[in-house]
Amino acid sequence: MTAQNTAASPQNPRPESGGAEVSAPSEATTSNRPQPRQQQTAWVVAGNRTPFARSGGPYANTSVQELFTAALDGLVARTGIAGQRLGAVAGGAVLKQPKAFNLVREPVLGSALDPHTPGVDVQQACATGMETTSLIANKIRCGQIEVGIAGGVDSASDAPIVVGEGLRKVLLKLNRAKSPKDKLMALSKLRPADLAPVAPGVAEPRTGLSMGEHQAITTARWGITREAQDEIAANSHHNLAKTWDSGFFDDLVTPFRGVTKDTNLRPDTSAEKLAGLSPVFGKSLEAEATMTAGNSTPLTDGASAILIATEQWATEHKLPLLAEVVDTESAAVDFVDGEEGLLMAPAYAAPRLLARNGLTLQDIDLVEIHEAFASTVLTILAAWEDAEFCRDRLGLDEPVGALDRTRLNVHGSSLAAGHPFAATGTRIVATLSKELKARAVAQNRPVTGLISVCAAGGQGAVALLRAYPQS
Amino acid sequence: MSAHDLQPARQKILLESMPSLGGMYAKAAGQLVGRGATAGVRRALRSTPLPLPGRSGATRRRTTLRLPNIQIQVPGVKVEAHGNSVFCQVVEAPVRVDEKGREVAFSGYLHALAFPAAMALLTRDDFPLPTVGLVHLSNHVHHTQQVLVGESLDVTVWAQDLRKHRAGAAVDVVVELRRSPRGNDDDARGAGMVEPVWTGRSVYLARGVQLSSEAGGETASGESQQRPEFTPPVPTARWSLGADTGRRYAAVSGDVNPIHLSGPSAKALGMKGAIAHGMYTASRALAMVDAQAPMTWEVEFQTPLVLPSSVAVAVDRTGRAEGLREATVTVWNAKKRKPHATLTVQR
Repeated sequence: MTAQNTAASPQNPRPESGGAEVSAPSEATTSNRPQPRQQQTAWVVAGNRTPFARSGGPYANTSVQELFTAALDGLVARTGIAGQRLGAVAGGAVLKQPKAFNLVREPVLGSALDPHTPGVDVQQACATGMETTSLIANKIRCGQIEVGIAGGVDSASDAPIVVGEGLRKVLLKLNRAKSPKDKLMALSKLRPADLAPVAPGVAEPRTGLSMGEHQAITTARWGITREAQDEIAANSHHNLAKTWDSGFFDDLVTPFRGVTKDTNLRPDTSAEKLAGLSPVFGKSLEAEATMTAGNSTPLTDGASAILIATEQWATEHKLPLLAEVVDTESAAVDFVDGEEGLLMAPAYAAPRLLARNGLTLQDIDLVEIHEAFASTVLTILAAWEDAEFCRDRLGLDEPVGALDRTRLNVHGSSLAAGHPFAATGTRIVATLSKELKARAVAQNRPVTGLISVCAAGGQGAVALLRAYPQS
Repeated sequence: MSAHDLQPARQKILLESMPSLGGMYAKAAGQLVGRGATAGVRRALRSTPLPLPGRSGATRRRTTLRLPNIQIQVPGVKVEAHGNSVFCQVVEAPVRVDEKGREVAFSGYLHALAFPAAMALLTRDDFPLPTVGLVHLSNHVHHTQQVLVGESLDVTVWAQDLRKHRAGAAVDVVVELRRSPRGNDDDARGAGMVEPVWTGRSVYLARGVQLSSEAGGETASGESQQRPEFTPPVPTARWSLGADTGRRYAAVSGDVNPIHLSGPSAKALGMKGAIAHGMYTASRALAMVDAQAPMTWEVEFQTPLVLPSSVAVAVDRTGRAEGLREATVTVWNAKKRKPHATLTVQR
């Protein structure tokens, strides 16, 4: 508090501002005058991302900091908030080097934002972008800040490589050793095998199974067919391709490093073409293996960010109120002994969120279910239609029910766009907010959307967004 | 271990400290190639089907084999923090602490701690079965009280119930661990005076050894019967076991049996390649369940786990942590649909 007051006080103007705009009311997100905090509505007012690229491709030599800075700068440029101090920027990455302990603050310092803007790192695996959205929206709803950025970034190309346990222990011992003799003793414990580097694991630490292998078990349990998965994948590519062609992303994506479009997108793919691919997950199960590289997301590099603000702040900055962040919910399942599927947590989170807000799945106009795998979407939908699951696991008298597929992932999702883990949440929030707003205006009624994102560790995050025709 | 109580009193053989396993394996291996072979080993060699250098024409003969009526005791074996922690690291067990924050010894580590005493028994000249080539069939552990790191234990080991098995002769090696009494009250030591905190019965098979007709057989747990066909459960985990798994476990357990250490040394003893220690598999399975004493756990080894390997694992638990009631861990080869081991835990 002290530092903040000092930084913003008239006696100590920020050097960057030249002092001229210090007293402008729109400048600071918190006033120094005591005033009661009021509950506010949090609005998504803008979004921006880099095009997503398959790992090892055009962003192979780009760090996560550079990627996130690009997403921030694009958002700042588009909204005209260069030099402004925001209440907070929340972001995160799943694959993060130890030196990047301030992964968000560093890009803020390197961006066009006022350097007095704090950054906070958040991480909840693939739901990171959902949690940053929740964090910033809740700060606004509580009246703590007027405006903030939520985002996420990941680069499997820039993944940390660490030394093995053996070398790490020797190095730690060496670091603690005082005398040359102790140092030699520490080094003498080193074995050649200790020198092999360790790449980041893709396996769940408690089970040793990769996410794909876990999902293959869930896929088999729900009897999801290969055809249904390939259809989801083909739709994802076709929908995303149409959205790119329509110019919808013109104000949601900023080209980066010569990349203008998501590189994983295959507009000309089809269910027939996808049917030709060999299965990659679930091959050691008793059931038929149905999951291929085509109906699973590839490793991807990219960054995304959204601007969330109060109505007053948005109006003052002439930004549209795209969608209200109505509510968010998280869930986790016990996957360790196979009681529930690793990626099934959203199936629990969404019904809780809907019930809390007096809604049913059928009340939702647009549903975004993150396509970690095509079968993730299908197992969640199957669970909601299953009376036994809804009764025994969700405690519901009636099943959640079927989803009208024309409401699902209308602009494509991660199978086509790719999935830079932490960046996916805010990619979806930005896309859905813009679409909800367009529909609300066109239909002259409030339009509600639901987002579901599954995450490693048996976790899931969901969010309710609503757009209104006015404003 | 009531069978023990029915036996005539066993002669107590007191060892001052735990013997070195390396030395005993060297002795056992030496016996195998005929150097310094003792009467018992010579008897055993005549009946073992192992491919033996220079003994390819080994004949099988019905022999009258008797277990030595002894029990080996090693008093005051300390549970070392370092030993427990490196063991836990290799089998991926969390090092647990009690309610006062004191480190608790892992149940699998207690087996490793007492194992040299068991080996001292198996490699004795009067032990009637060949040490090298014994197949570990199963282990039955009754772990009644938590043992803390830093405590001292008295180890008692004996062999019992030499019996017929469809593939040879089976024998129980029983290990009892008791808290060492304070001071030098020797009368308080040993069986009978203090209840064991950990009792383990390991069942070994000497393949091809045929017992004379007066020997009991086909006893107990149906171990001699053909197993029902294995239906793989739905996996919940996978272990990626590197070629060095046997060496890593040997380093923390002291069990340097050559069949675990490398391909060539294992092949020399008739294996397809280096195989994982049964007690590595058992300890790692137990670690996944994360069960604490008091408990009973049993592991049955079905087929050797040849290294390196990626094996499927299924954990089925009722309750967790303090609330754990029972658990089953199945470890199998998914490609060949062959079970390696099954662990069950009861609390």
